[in-house]
Amino acid sequence: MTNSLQKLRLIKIVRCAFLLIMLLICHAGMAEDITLRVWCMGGEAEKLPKMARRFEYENPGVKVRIQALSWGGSYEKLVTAFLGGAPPDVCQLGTTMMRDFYAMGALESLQPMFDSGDLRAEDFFSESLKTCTYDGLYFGMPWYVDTRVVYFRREYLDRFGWQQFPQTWEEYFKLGQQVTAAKLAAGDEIGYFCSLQGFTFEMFYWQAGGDFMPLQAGYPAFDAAKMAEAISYERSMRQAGFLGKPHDSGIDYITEFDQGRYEVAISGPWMAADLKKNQHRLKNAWGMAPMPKNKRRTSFIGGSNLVQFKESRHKEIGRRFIHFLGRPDIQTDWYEISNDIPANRRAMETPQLINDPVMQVFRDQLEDTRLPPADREWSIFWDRFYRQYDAFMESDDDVKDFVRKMSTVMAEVIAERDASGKPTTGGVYWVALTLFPVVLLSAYILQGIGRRQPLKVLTSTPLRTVALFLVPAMTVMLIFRLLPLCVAFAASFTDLGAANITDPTRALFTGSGNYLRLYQDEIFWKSVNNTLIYLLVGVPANLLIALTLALAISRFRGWQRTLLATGLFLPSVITMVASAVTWRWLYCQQSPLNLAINWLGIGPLNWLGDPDLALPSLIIFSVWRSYGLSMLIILAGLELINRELYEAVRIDGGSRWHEFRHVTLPGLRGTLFAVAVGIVVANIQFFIEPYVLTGGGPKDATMSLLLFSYNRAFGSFQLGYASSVITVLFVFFFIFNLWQRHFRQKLS
Amino acid sequence: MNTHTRNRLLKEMLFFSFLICTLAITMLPFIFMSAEALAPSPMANVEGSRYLPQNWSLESFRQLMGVGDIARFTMNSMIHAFGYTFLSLLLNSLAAFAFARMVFPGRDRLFTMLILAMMVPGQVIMIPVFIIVKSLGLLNSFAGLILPGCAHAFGIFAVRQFMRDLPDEIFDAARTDGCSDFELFTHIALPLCRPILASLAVTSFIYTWDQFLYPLVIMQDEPMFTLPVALVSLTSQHFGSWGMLLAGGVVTALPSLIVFMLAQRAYVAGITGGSTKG
Repeated sequence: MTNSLQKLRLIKIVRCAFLLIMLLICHAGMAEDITLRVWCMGGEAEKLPKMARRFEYENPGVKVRIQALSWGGSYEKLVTAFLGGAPPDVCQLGTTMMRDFYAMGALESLQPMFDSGDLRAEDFFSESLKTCTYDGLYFGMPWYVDTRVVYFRREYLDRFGWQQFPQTWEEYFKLGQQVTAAKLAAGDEIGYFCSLQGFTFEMFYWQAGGDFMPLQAGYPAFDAAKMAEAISYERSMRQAGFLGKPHDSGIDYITEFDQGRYEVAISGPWMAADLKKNQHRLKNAWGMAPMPKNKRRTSFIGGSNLVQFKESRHKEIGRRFIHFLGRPDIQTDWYEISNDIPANRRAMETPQLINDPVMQVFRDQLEDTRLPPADREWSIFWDRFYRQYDAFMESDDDVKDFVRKMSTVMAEVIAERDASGKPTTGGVYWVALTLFPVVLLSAYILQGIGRRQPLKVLTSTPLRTVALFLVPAMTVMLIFRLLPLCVAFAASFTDLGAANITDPTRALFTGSGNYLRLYQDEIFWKSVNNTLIYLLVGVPANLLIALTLALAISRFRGWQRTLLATGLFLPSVITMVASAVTWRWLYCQQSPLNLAINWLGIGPLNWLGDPDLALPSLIIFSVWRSYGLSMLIILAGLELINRELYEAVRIDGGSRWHEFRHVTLPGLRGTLFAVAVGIVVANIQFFIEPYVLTGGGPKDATMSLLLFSYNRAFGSFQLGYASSVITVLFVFFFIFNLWQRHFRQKLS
Repeated sequence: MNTHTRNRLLKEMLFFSFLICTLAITMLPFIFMSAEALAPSPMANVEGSRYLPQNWSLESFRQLMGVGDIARFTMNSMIHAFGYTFLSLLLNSLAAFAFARMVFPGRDRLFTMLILAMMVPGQVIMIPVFIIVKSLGLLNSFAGLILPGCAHAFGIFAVRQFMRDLPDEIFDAARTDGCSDFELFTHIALPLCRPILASLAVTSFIYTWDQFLYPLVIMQDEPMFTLPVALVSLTSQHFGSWGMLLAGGVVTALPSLIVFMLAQRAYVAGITGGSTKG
């Protein structure tokens, strides 16, 4: 025993020494070179080192350290890095994230680079540069751009004698009719012409000649006539059977396109790269074209910018690196490596790219692209818009009525925006509102003391002893749980968000605004509903399976038991990322799971894509992952039951059922209750499953309360609004707790 | 007599086939996962209908080793997981003892509050927690990583339930023998609680070993990355690296499994410990 302790201590010392030496080495290494910290998204991070080596070669004494931002947590990582005072020197930011980080005051202006002529505004696509422009200054450099063009299969084009891909809406519709008819005649069950994947409604609206206007109360936000035209066009295509629903087969759309399920797909540059690189059946029988036009052929523009953080310690070198990545020759080479379309127009005119057929299509399309409006109000609007859109698409209702209804919706959204925000809160507000729940909770506890004291005071343990046991855990909880919760409570009455996170005293007091919004938010109610279903199905299933297995295993001892328990416990130890990847694969169209089900004669199911199936799929995944733990605790509880009681039942001639009913169950009561509460606690947090597998979709079918709150906090950085969900959840728990106590008292 | 034994045999067969089926269903995804991690191009068979890869390759694992200072990240993860497990066992069992076997004013309501506060998960209050950790100067430190979560409801709750179910007579007897409250805790309660403490240790270990979001924001310097953070941050998220993620999944599952198997011995010890109480 002491021997192993000494060994442990020795290991510890060696470990500390190792750490120290490592630190020293790192420190010594840093003194010589300047290290530029660059963060970018996973796909870019994989390829950027090649470019970085070139930069290092051109700039001796500089080391570029590239770190990938992961798909889960890039926003959190950036926000906290900024708040923690350790942001990267240079960072890739998606065009949609620019606004928040500008509002936080995190970004350094790149205006000097444009002023000095290092960068020229006219080199970049103006719509793309707009995402870097705030208050007339540039806060970033467009790195690459992204737009959508049409990919088509050649066979039908040739068959119907088209010289080129349709240029206009009318021609496109005509080709669609021809192809659908031909496919149906040839025995194709669906005859889809075009996948809905990649379409956004905005494109149709732009192509019809519409524009999005600044949001002002009393003024229209969009052109009603153009909107109606765009909607009618899409409806006519859907009703003619052209447009397939996205994801309805569960295979990725490039494969669908390759297999001929669709003749046309709308996609970005990666699809060309994929079709060229990978072995597809289609070989070269495909082509690309810009969007068909009505008034114009607008597509949307997206992409990524490079920004510099204010707290960067190597601003000069950071700027040099940004300039380097924007250079035409580097941009051209970058396209070859990554297929990202250069944001610098001059790069497209380099000898390598000027004759590149793929690039030609993109260059044509990029001349007519628009930026979707980034205001938060628009995303709220689209949310409500799409809620009614599908139903409308299948109906024959008047388009004008629908557009009028949508105008009212937009007016409401604007009114909500203007209604929120009255006085600035100031520090006193925060202290007062944070203390409010503390006072309330203390009062609750004190009132409990008042009621029970006369009865129990005699048998009380001395308070000093109690404190000795409680203080460590309580301190931790007070600081890291209760305090943040109280802050969240206070925040729920404000508009705390990106604009005021660095100085919360500037937040506006919105009163019950967040709660009213919550009450009206359909996604919130949907997520309440989903969480309840999840609880009502998942918890009993988990408990039942765990109990059955624990009883089954308890018959075994020794290695047999270890083996069985380990096998059953396996799912609980696999990291979330790995099990999520595995299950996403198991749930896709041609996975072993679907093949097995097919064999049973049910036919392949689109587990995660079907709104009715997605929630059950997640419940299965969750139960699979978590019952091992419950089983383990029940197993521990079984050991506590006095073995003599079983003997007694057996001597009395009782059956197995008697044993279970009169010995096992009563003996397990405490454990089962703990496990049940544990699962409820874990499952009310129904978060990680939808977070990794579905992101809450399809159509919010798997949106849970926490994911809802989390998305509001980190997807759109509305911390005030997100906090109101937490408060509601807390109050709900409180009432639930009172009720279950009352219920239990009644029982006993 | 004959029918009786046949009945028994039938029942046994049913029992075992049930057990084997469950075991198979439970383990299949893991088997697929390991198999795909060993395939030359993992997850590539969306179209085909093969169940298991035809060829085997250690490429994914080789890539994984090239990601960076894996030994360093593993050690960080070890410190994180063991530190957290130790602290949470200590704090939670202490608190659980107070709630289970002591009487003091306000106990039940305090306990209620505690459970309530715990029910709200860490993810949604991450920003306030982060700001507190930062203002305490604990960013980039193991203290900042371990402390905030180490006292948790499930731990206190499970241990408290277990301690409540322990027979009162032992405690009364010990107390008449002159044991102090602290001795009751260390000499009577803790040894008897070994099964539940083992479960809790396994749970805590696995939970921290797999934790991603919180270490991601607290540990901001690469030398302080834990294994999951390093795996996700330093391997790219493109389709090509699914193999690495799966290989990472297989590799990172191993320590948890070992801890789990070791904990199994604590159950046995718990049983003998329980039976000697007489």
